[in-house]
Amino acid sequence: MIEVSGINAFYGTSHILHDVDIHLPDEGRVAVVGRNGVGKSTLLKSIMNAGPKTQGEVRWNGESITRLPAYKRARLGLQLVPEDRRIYQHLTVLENIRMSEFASASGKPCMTADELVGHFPMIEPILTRLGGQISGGQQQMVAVARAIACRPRVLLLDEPTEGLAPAIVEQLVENVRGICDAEKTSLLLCEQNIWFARKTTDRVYVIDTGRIAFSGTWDEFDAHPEIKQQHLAV
Amino acid sequence: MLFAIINSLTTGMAVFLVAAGLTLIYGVMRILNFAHGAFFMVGAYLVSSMVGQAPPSTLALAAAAILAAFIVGLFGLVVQRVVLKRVQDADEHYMLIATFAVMLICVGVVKLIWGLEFLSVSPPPGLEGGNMLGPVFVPTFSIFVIVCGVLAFLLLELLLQRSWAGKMLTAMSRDRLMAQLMGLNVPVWMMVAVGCSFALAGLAGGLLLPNQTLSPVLGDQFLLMSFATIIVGGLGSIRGAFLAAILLGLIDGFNAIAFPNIPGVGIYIGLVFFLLVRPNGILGEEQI
Ligand SMILES: Nc1ncnc2c1ncn2[C@@H]1O[C@H](COP(=O)(O)OP(=O)(O)OP(=O)(O)O)[C@@H](O)[C@H]1O
Ligand SMILES: [Mg+2]
Repeated sequence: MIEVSGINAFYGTSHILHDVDIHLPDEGRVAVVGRNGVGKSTLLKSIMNAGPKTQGEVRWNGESITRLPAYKRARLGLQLVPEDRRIYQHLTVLENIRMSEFASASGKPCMTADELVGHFPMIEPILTRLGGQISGGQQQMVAVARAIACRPRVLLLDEPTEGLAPAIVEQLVENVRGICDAEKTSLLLCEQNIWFARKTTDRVYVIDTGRIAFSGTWDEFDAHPEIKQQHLAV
Repeated sequence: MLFAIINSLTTGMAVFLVAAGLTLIYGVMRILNFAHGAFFMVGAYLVSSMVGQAPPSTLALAAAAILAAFIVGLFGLVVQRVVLKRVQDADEHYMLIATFAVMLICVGVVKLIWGLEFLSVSPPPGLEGGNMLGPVFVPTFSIFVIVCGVLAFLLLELLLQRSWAGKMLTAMSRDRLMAQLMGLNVPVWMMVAVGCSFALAGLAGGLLLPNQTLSPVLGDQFLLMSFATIIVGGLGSIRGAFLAAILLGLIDGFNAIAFPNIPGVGIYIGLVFFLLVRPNGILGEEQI
């Protein structure tokens, strides 16, 4: 589905990602874990071509999309939920969600509000509220709901659990798994919450200061406790 | 007194018509477009060529102004494609220099086509003269300008706040990155915004043509006033520009009565005052 090879990413002159390779198979669920500031968000933004300057190649179903602008990548079916959520404050929750119709991949109908509420019961009572008038946790739900509303092929989630109460994080596990099962969506998740990452994905990459330090299944990850020690302990 | 207020409002609304497009393009592209006044002037010249020095009717004037808006809007698309698009990701200074260059070119072309001499156009028959409102004489053309300004304001507000396209334009101006992530064809929406901004300049040029002395420096006069207006109003805010236009109009009117030998100074004193009190403008936080 997505094949990232030899990506180097830069902000101005600072070199953030160094020759990163990531493979996200069709219907695969992959986590990228790492400490603060190691380049997780930069990786997702590089995949969307939204921000950092990048070198290297991003392939989509075998075809290079390295030169496509972000909005065209969105229209291919890539949806990024950024870490800062970025809900439009002047639009209602429903309007925020409706905006994703711009990214609807060729002819596939977007979800109706009812269908979406089926996945995220939490957003039902706030649909007509303005984006600026909902809580941080609600914003996170809306951000995910808005990303999946038009049935993307790949969901890129950037630290979705940040700032959520434990009970809501458990709820989010069910939401994310439910959506990926129902829509056959692939998932690339950046997280610091190992528990959440383990629950929602099959494979894991560990990233440290812009380089991939480990990749494998969660069982393999557990078999090497020193990886956690070396690259994730704070 | 009433006469002074009506005069001030006329000035204010005339400036608002020009400033609206200037603040719109700032809201969406974050550029201060020095060429805006020049294109306002192009609109005025275009209309003068269409209707002559004595417009046959109000309708003809309005139709010509709309046509000029359309033409100047197309110029806007060209400027966007050829100039602004190339510098939009560069440093702000490049943007300023680029729009300044566009202004110089534009003024040069105006001189080549329409010459240097002053031209004046009288109001069409329907807008000539005036009425007595109690003891004061109110020129019909003043009423026309005020009505145009208020209508333009209401229409812009309605479009930007209520229509889906307006909401998307606002969304793009507030968070361009997210708009792209949602699949919005940002370059096309930029074109739309720039086209609208230039069209507003052209429209204003046409509507305000009568009673103006048309010369290649017309753009500069309005550009300065418009910049003052959008700075006082809060860059990017249509509502702010509207309020600021009225305020600065009133200040200018008061200036003309109280200190008739130093016209135009009041605006700058007002500008300095507002910058000290509200450096982000009256409605600085609230962008289009
Ligand atoms: N816009 C930017 N301009 C310059 N440097 C940046 C920018 N954004 C991030 N950086 C730097 O790039 C590095 C990687 O940042 P990134 O946001 O990708 O980290 P992260 O792994 O997502 O961290 P976190 O877990 O805190 O979200 C950091 O050192 C950060 O300071
Ligand atoms: Mg991050």
